[in-house]
Amino acid sequence: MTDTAIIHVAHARLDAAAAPDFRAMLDTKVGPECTRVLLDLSAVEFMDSTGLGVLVWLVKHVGDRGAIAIAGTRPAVATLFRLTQFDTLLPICGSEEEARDALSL
Amino acid sequence: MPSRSDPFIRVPANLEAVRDLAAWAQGACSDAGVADDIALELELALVEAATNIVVHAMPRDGNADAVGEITCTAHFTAEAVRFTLNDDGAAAPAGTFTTATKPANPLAETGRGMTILQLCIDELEYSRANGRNRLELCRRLPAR
Repeated sequence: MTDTAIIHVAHARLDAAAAPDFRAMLDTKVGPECTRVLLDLSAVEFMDSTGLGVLVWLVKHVGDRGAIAIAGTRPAVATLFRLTQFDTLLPICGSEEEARDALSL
Repeated sequence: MPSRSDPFIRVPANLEAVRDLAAWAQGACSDAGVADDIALELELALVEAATNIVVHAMPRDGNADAVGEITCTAHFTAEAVRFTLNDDGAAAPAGTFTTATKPANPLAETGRGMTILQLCIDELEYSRANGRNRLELCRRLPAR
């Protein structure tokens, strides 16, 4: 375990069918000492409220001790973030490089 | 008015099959020439509605072996898109679809589905008859 987790999410759809597996994966990769999380969603074609709920869980899991940046949002995911105003909660970056900058990596 | 030529799908009421429903809706919207941004929101609305049926109306929450099925018909006009979902699950509690959208707690992990559904469509109509639920989602289209 390190203080930084760079996670390339492989799920094409983050929906109710995938959410338990997605959360378990994040729980494994984001340990208690992790303070910076870069989440690359470029492979995610679709996300619903259940997938978003897992991201909210991650925000609370990391909490005040660290920071999260998201990169690679495709149109369907960006739409969800806009509708729910999740894009006001975290930095949503246009590229992994921008996300690295946001986390000072 | 709906017609027999309207796109139609029947799927088992489980979470994996919600993906089949979403893929079908994407295809139907594409065939009808619906703009991509509207099609994305319609897919999202349909997934939220169908997931709600599977999780809350069916005898076994989210279980692939859940008994029941969902049917959906799409109806396209120049003015609007209508998806009509039917299922044989339990009745929705009173007020499920009529409660006004409220901003979700930004740190709540659940409870956003209905809000998202309401944000993506213009009209939502629920009814129950003969032991079946009927939910109609209507999204108006911009003038071309």
